[in-house]
Amino acid sequence: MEEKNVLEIRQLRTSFFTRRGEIRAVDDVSLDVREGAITGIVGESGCGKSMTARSILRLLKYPGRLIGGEVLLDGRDLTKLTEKEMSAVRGGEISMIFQEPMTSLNPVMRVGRQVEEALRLHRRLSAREAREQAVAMLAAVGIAEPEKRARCYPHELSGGMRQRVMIAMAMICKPRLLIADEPTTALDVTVQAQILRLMKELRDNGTSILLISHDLGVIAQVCDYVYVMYAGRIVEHAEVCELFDHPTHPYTRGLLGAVSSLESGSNTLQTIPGVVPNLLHLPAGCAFSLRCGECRKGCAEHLPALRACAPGHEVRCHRIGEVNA
Amino acid sequence: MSEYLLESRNLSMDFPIGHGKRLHAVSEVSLQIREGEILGLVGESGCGKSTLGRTLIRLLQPTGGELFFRGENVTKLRERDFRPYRRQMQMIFQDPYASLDPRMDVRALIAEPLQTHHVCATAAEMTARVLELMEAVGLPGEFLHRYPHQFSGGQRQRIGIARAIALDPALIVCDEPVSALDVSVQNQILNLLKELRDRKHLTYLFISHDLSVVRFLADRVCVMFLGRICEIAPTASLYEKPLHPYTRFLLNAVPKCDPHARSEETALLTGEVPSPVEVPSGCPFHTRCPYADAHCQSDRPALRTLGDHAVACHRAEKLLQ
Repeated sequence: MEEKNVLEIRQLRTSFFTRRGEIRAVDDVSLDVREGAITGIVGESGCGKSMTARSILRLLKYPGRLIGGEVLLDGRDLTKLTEKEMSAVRGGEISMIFQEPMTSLNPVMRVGRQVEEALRLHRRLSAREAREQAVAMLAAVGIAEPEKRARCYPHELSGGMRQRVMIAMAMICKPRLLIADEPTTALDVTVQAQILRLMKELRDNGTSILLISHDLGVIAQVCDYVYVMYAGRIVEHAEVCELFDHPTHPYTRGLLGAVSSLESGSNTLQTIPGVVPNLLHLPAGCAFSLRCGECRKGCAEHLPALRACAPGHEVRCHRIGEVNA
Repeated sequence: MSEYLLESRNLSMDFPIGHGKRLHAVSEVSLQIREGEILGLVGESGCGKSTLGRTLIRLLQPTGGELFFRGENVTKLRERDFRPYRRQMQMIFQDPYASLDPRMDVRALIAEPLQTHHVCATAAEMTARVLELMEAVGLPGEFLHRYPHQFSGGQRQRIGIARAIALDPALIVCDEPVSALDVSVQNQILNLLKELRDRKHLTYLFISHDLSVVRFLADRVCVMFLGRICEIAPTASLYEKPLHPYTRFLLNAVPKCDPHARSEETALLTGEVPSPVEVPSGCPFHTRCPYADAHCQSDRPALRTLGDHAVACHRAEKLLQ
């Protein structure tokens, strides 16, 4: 079966120009989002996963700037579009949901109206048609009594309900791509499970999703393809089972070891020594070399390239082949 | 002396919220914490676990019920008389960014509890004690005069832990101490907490929404729903053989870190958590429970012993089969 990509990111670079120097939040990131699949980006705080998502939609705040690379949506480069053309893409062809639904919703506007908003911006519909579609969308994302809920304000809804409203807003224009940035991080586990199931239903109905999460459990449960980021760069990517069965980069192995030692009930937990490095003072070579047990002479000086270690599985490490798990 | 370090009997904590209404954050909780154990307290947001933690060490004055510390009733002690007990009960907070004064350096932060309780006679003695505490939590001594903003989240949490153990307390309430940390750092802190418990013979009440963290650390686990305890059991037994339907749903909802074990068919909990202002009659969980019958709607189940579990469910035996 031929795999088609909805979105192709090529050598994307986003930097923040601060008084103390340039912070490379996204450094040479290339990534494919496959049609009708859930592609995940996983990493710890500050690794650049959210900035990658924001760069796609060009939602960067000063002093952040996109300084290079291409973002191809069905072959069209979004970095070359005018601001006006970009507005048509946001919410129309690509939509995004965020971690905290309360801060992303307008507190003084009924939720039904907020769901309609994108429709009225991007499609020319009568008020009645827009209302009907909004209510149908609320029902489709699993909100009981959608007519009644459409007349509620955000504060009258629970966290899980608000996230469903956000998803309804994002899906109302039938976007080519849905970007979900930590969509369940603010939710309780039982509600998280409901939202993850909804994301899988959207995928099964043909929506392409880019899911950003710090939670390897969430990634393992819903993603088809996974990219691991560390300090602004992609360090490993593979199909989900391949990645969890054969993690190869020392960082990926450390992360998985940390999580699975919690699950296995061992007496001492596996950790990754040290802390996430300051992006202002990265070594010239591999950013993980400071914390890596496999680090050898030269690792900190020379940047490793992404190299294939199996079909569809690439790793950014000098020592692949030597330290294979 | 009592066999329990801390015991609560029918402890309740209500908050007035205006219009004559009250929010029942904690209702009639009877709980025993044994000397030297780690008791895990889990539940979803708003279930009252943090309020219970604070009420147990009287950071909040309970609105009902009694508290016993080493067998002595401390519920109604005046603040001055309660002070010696305060030394025995310390707390570690969730957010290492919000819980440290940004204008105090590490020495001042860790020395604060020592000063409050007049532990050290001289400044030199104080510095020596602070350095000793820093070593115990894995902070290099040269950080003595640094300020909180110069540290990462994990290191700040180490400062918080040093403050909590400064007075050699008997009990530490840990309220979501690793929730704000990344996994790689989270495990360092969990290992440290476990090591300190063994070395200093501490007792923890460990509050967390993360079931896998609690499984690693706790000897016994207590599950809360809507201000009440629904189940308490030894850790292994609770995770392998949960009796309360809510515990089962909670455990099933945790996403497993294995793409081969996807929970496509698992039943999910539907509906919403009821409001703690208008608590449902009978079992507080009956509005979401698929096994609830008429009995569950009318009669509130008491916590009763079933094997090595204590469970508040009328139908626990039936569900076992």
